Amino acid sequence: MGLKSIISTSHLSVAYGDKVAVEDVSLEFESREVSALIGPSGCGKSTFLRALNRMNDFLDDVRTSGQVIFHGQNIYDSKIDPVLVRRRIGMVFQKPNPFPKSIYENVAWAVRKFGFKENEVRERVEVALKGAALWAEVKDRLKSSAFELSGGQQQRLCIARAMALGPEVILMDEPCSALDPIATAKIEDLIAELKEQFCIIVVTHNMQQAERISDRTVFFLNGKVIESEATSHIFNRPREELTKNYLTGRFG
Amino acid sequence: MFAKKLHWKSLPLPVAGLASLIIAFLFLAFLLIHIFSEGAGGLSWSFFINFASRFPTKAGIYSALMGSLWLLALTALISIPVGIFSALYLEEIAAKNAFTNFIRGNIANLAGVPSIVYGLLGLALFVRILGFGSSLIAGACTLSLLILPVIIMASIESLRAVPRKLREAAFGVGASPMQVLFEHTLSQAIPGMITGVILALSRSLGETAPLITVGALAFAAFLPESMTDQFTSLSIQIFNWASRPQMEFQELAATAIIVILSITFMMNFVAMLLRWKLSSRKATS
Ligand SMILES: Nc1ncnc2c1ncn2[C@@H]1O[C@H](COP(=O)(O)OP(=O)(O)O)[C@@H](O)[C@H]1O
Ligand SMILES: [Mg+2]
Repeated sequence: MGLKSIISTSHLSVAYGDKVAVEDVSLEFESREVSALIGPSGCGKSTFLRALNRMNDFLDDVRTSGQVIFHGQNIYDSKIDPVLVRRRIGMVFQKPNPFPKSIYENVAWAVRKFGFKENEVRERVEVALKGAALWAEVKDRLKSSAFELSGGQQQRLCIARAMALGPEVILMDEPCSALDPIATAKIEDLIAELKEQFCIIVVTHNMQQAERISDRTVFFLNGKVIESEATSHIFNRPREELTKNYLTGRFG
Repeated sequence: MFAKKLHWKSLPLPVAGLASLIIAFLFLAFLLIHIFSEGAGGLSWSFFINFASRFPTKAGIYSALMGSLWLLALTALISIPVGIFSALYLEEIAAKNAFTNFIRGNIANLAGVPSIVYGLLGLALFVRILGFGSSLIAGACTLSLLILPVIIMASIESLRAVPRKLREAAFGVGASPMQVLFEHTLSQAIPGMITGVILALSRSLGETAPLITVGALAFAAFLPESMTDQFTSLSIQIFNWASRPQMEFQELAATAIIVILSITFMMNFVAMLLRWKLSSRKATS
């Protein structure tokens, strides 16, 4: 295991009942790096991503084996509280899912639960909204409902919400798949900026997007990792035949 | 403008639907007109503050109305917390195993049990075994059992209607399971739950058989003062008056029906208002 890696998996497998969705995956992710997870739909990208902050815990009939090591500790250890894990490993979902609350409350809720005083909460909300490149658009209407925002704004609000607790890792599952090209471009720019502070792991079905935003690309197929390399490397000279076939569109 | 033109072959279904709707509506209208023409004349202040009496001109619904209000309040106090917590437990907390699935699956069956059966259960359990006697609390416990399945089902339905992505959002920012339940899921489910509760309570208002079975009075010229007192109710009063041959008592029954219907409609109206208010607040608060 590399010393620099902030989160890594070791022989991680996840099965739904009898169906193995992720099989024996060992990967390392570093801080200040964007990793893209690509692969055909159904190959286990979401399952893997959700295993990284124990979001699969809520699904019935899921079995996880192997380890996810975050700061040297296996987050599946029985001594670990998954709630605390999720505060340090944030998540952004495929469809924007703001709380049915005001814009301000969306970001403030978790911060307040974390034990901050109201003036600190206000500060953190502002910092997070600025960080998510949303502040200018919403600062005059923090009290209005998050549902009044456009899809792209809602997704940036969700990113702000995930950032506000000061996590170290942010997981994003196809964050742009429900957005138009302009909103997508904004999120991509945002990811490039967030990279300065966080370890970002993004699932995407869009290979151009993976190429544009990521430092490293992991290619999944049928629950296994076929190749994990620097993005420029994988897109120019893939090592594996399967990767090449996928990237040139022979299947997927 | 994109509406598909109805083909003549598909006409019988809408026509039959409309016809049944009109028939149902006509019956309802007829019923209301009949009751109002018979009972509206009897509406007066003294009708509300007079006790039941052998003399139709002096008879009123004071004790029956108070009994019904007592029952309503006690039943609400018992059935709302028990019903909502049962739903929360079954749907959100309990493990999904064969036993809890069996219970979930059979709640609907409980809702279909005839109310007289609940009456007999109430008589055995609350009146005799627990020794409540034929009191308000025995009546309210029986009515609570009767409407609990409805409240639980409505509450489970509204919990299920809360989108999963909302729960994921909350878990995703490190909310604990209890925080997710009480601060996110529940606030979304409450409008639906309230509607279910009010509709169930308004149904309990008209229940007669289980109350007679637990020994409610057919005639009471006093007000219940505590929940251990004997009582009568509007529904029983109506039953009592309607089963007498004299026209005057028939009219009293009609007047009392106007009162009980008004309460029911008011409750349903409040349910509608609350639902509307809470669901418009949903998106902003
Ligand atoms: N909740 C679930 N229950 C059962 N099977 C699931 C569930 N979620 C995903 N799967 C299955 O696991 C496999 C991987 O799914 P997923 O991780 O969503 O893939 P991807 O995100 O790459 O499209 C698929 O075959 C899918 O059908
Ligand atoms: Mg997916």
